[in-house]
Amino acid sequence: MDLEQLLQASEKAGDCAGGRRMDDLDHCDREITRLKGLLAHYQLCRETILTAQSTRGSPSSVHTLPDEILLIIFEYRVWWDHPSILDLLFVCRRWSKLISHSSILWTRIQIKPRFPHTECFNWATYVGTCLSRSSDLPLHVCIDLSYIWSREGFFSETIAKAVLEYVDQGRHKEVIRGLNFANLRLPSARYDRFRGRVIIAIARATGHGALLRRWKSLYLKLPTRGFTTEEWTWDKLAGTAEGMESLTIVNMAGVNSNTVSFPHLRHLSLLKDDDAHPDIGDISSLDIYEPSLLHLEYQVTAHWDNLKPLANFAHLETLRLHRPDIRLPPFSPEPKHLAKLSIRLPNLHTLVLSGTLSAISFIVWDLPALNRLEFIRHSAPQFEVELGPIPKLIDTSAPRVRPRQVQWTVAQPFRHTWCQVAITAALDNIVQHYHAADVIIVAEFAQAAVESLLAGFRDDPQFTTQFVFKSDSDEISV
Amino acid sequence: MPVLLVTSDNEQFRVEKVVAQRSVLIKNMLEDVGESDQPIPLPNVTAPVLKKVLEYCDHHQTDPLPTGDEPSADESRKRTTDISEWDQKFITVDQEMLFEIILAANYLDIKPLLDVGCKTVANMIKGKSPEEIRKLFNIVNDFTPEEEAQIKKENEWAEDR
Repeated sequence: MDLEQLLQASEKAGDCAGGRRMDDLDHCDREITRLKGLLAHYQLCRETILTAQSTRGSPSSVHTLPDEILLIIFEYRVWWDHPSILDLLFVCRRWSKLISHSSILWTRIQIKPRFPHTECFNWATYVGTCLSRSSDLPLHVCIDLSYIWSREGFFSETIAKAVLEYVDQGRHKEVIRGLNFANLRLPSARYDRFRGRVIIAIARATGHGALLRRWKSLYLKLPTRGFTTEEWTWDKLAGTAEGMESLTIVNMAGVNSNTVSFPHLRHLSLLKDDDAHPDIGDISSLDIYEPSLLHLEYQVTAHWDNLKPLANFAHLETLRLHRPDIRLPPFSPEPKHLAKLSIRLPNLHTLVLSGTLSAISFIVWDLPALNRLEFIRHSAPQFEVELGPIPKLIDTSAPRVRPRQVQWTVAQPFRHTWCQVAITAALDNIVQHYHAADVIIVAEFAQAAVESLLAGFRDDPQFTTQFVFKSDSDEISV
Repeated sequence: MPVLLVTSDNEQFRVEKVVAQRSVLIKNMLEDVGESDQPIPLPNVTAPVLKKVLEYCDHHQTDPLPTGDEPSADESRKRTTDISEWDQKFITVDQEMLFEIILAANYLDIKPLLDVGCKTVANMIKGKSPEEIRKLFNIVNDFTPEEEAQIKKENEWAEDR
């Protein structure tokens, strides 16, 4: 065998070896594919077993709830404590996946810092996460600064600079002014860092102002002690509301400025804490006469003027007055003058009066569409109720088609004697409108009041309304 | 006119129409078939659960029906997890019945009852840690360590909480 033959033989042998190697590789690929399939199968088995284990012994458990119901539960759970959504993320894979991929759960942004409780909480990153996961859905923003602010010290220059990275776009200087960066002082570095994070979070939620268009509802609670309108200028932030077309719901507490203006507002709630300034919640000092307002809730102050602006909300459908404990001060007009006050709200269908009602008797209500009147006694001792006068309900409107069903309700949490007066007041109104209903259902406890009211109607052949007394009902309804 | 309802376990319930119509599903069925003596089958609801649901419907028969066209109905719903005193007593049942009621309310389309059930579960998990929630509902922690680390990474805003 010469050299040439030897080389040829060697090449053939090499080819064979190469071929074998190729075969080996193909075999490996096939084996890898097979093992991958096996792994996927076992993973599926594992999930099935885990699910079966977790539901074992419980025919109907939380696992049997469909995703859409779990989401409703999660929404309720996190509405007033949204940062705790994290706890739900760590429960199990299903919850985690559901929450992470549900944009609606991230439309709530709740900035509610408490020092030092949430000192290390990164509010700015939290807001960023909410914004990125909420897609382009409308936002429900809650800013509750009532626990962190005080007169002592504002923001340091360092913090202000950090914040300006997010908001310094020129066209939103109102935001910056509103957040009080003009008052730079040097408080403790630790607290400063904490508040800085909070302010960055608020600034991020505005998204250089552009995100204001996504704001659907706003809950704003500010500290009410030691502040003046000039120092904590909420209204300057509100001044950016021009682009807030979608903002229809505003709840404010601790706000006593007078330039709140939202052109598309439907719901407005002005609340205050017990230790708040007594004028807070005084709608007479707010420029909020948006004709679009449909639902109003506020705390009536000691000023009679606080009730007068009601007549301006011509389209109001529901009205909730809290603690209307107007004790007429010495400088107030005489009651005979007040008796002339007439409030006509043609679309109002629900009126809720909570607290002392004495001043209400000086109003002549003209509420032709009213079909729900509710008295609620506040549980706090300072809300002790004197329910002497009854609301006057007059109907001066033209004849119209009455609603097929009219419902009157008197909530009766405590069966005290004062409530009897409230019942009588409500029943008096029922009697005025009895012709709108065939059957009136009354709680048994109110039977005596009803019988006395109906005594004068018994001989009237037109009076065909049937009264039913229910022992298990806490309400009066028609 | 009474309505005859038949549960999945073949028990029959004769109830007043006004009570049965608290369920939008039944209301729609009645409207579709018109006046009829035919029983209405409810294959997804057992007798004990339907009995409980009808107790709720009976108590709330005079409540105004939710219209669903109020623009901010959802917002106001989210605002509170408060439950009225009667509803609280009504919904004080064991977990199994609670989830059955929720499922039945969903199937029968009784939104106020569904809300009461969901609020109750939401209140049950209020203020609880993941571990406490798992214990409460007998949920197995099925995360691998890698998955847990990934969730922490994706939600770093709370890392140093």
